[in-house]
Amino acid sequence: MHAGSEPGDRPNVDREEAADGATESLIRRRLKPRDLVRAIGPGLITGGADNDPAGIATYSVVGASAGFSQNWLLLLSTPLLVVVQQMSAKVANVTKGDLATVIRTTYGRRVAMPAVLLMVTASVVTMGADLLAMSAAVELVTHIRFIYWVVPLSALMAFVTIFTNYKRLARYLLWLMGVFAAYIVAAFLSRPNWTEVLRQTVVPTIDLRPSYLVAAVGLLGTTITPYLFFWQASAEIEERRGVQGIRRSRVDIVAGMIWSNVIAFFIIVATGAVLFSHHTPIVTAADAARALEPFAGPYASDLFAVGIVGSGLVAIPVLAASTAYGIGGVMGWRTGLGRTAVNAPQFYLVMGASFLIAMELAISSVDPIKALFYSQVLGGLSAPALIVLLLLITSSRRLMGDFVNGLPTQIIGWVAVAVMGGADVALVYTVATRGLP
Amino acid sequence: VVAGQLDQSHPVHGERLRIQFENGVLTLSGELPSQADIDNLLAEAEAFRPQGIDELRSELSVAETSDEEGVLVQTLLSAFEGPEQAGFAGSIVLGHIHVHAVRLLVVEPGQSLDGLLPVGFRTDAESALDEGRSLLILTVDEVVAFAARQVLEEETRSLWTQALPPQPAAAP
Repeated sequence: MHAGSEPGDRPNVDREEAADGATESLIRRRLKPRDLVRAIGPGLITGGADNDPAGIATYSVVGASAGFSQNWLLLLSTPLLVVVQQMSAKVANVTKGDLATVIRTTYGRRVAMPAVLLMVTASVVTMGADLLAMSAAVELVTHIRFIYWVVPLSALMAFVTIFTNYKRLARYLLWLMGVFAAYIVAAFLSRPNWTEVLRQTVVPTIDLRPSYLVAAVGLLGTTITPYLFFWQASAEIEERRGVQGIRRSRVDIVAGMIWSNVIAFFIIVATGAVLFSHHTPIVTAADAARALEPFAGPYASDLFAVGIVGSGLVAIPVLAASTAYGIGGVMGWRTGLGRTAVNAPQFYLVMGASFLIAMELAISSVDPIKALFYSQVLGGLSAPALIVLLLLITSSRRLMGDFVNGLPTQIIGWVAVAVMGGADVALVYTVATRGLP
Repeated sequence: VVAGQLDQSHPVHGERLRIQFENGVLTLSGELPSQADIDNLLAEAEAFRPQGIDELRSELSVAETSDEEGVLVQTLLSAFEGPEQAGFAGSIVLGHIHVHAVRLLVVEPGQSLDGLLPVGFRTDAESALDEGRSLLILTVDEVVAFAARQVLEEETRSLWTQALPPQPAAAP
């Protein structure tokens, strides 16, 4: 030994309790009301980011094209989403490393690099689609063509992400997303057949037509989306909860994910009731905004625009940061929104580059709604491989110790892989044999 | 670095730390782990008052945490090119996070890992030793393990860092 053991301040613990080796029992204390309030953090931001402009467009397209027939997938995806996000958080809280770093140190760069590139590709395409959606929403209000808004909005978003304290800002921006509660009111005012809505929510409808399968993969891809795995882990690192905060983290994630899927449910119900019942497809942002007409009347477009811009302000920094966290983790760079650009130059350079590429994608895209929708399909195609990696890491007793996955988590995690993988295989097969819808 | 003292180390670890000097007013802002860290930083800045600082303004705050110290410990394992780098890295980590290590060891090639690491972590560790590298084994309170891993990964010349799962503090 080069240096001997250096006993530090001996921790003051109940030695008898500690001696039984049950690490988790040491941190199992009842959450107080104060803890619950303080629990709200990255999970709620993750839930907000899950309903990004692309997500809202996807849910609107699903509602308009498939009515309520995919509600069951949303119900099924809720526990899957919660479990996957909790596994992402646990990786960070136990290993103290972000997801990309842990994949790299566990399986090497040969596995980490493709995993991160899958996420980065889907994220940058989604960023482009989100910028396009924000631009289309601003067009609704200003009547100036959306293409002229892409560059200013990209510059604004890059500024917000790189030069402001996003963690603090996001807590205020989340209030903007309260606008989407309008979908709850709109869903009730549009008077759907609630018996039918409920039936289609609990009884699965299987349809092998390409349009249905594309919509299903898009819906699953926008709900259980790869960049959120990386974001959740990195946000836990910045929050520094550790294993003592795992219970608070669970509360936060459950609240965020349920809020996210409740809004998604009502978007589908409102668009299904207003657009699907009249066989009106969504081609433009104005079509998507029509679902809010039962609630907002002539102001539906304005309300929709505020919501889309708000959701973009929350989600796009999350997408850009997830990209930079992923690449930074694989390369071993300094990362963190808690750092300034001077302290973590590569992290911020990657974010800047992702904005430039996303802006270019947005400018060159001709059909905003299609771009939004297919970006989510890309997410759905890449998610299963990443969930498998998450499951392998969190099921390893070597890495997780007493915090290894329990049987229910394992089962739900593998169901997520099976459901998303199954939908992907069915989509690829159907598109290969019958072509794109 | 306060007042351009580039030759001295300033082991301050915090969030969004910023020093701004304008019209004779030196403003320090950001989050630090404890009030003691804030006091130390302010005292250091105060020492430079005669060199043109008219006013010292603190916008520093203590980072919020509800985690209890002394409940769990966590061991971090890092590989380095040589024992000197490993030992130096250990001192850098402890300097940054201002805590005592529960355990700090440097293992050189040829030394046994028996009793030092669980079997599951020995493969990578033994490979590193076989390649002539040295290992730093650092056990700290779980509450500061985030900062310790971050410093090891980002501020030292570690080749890789792994974290063993947290354990009860009485049985590190």
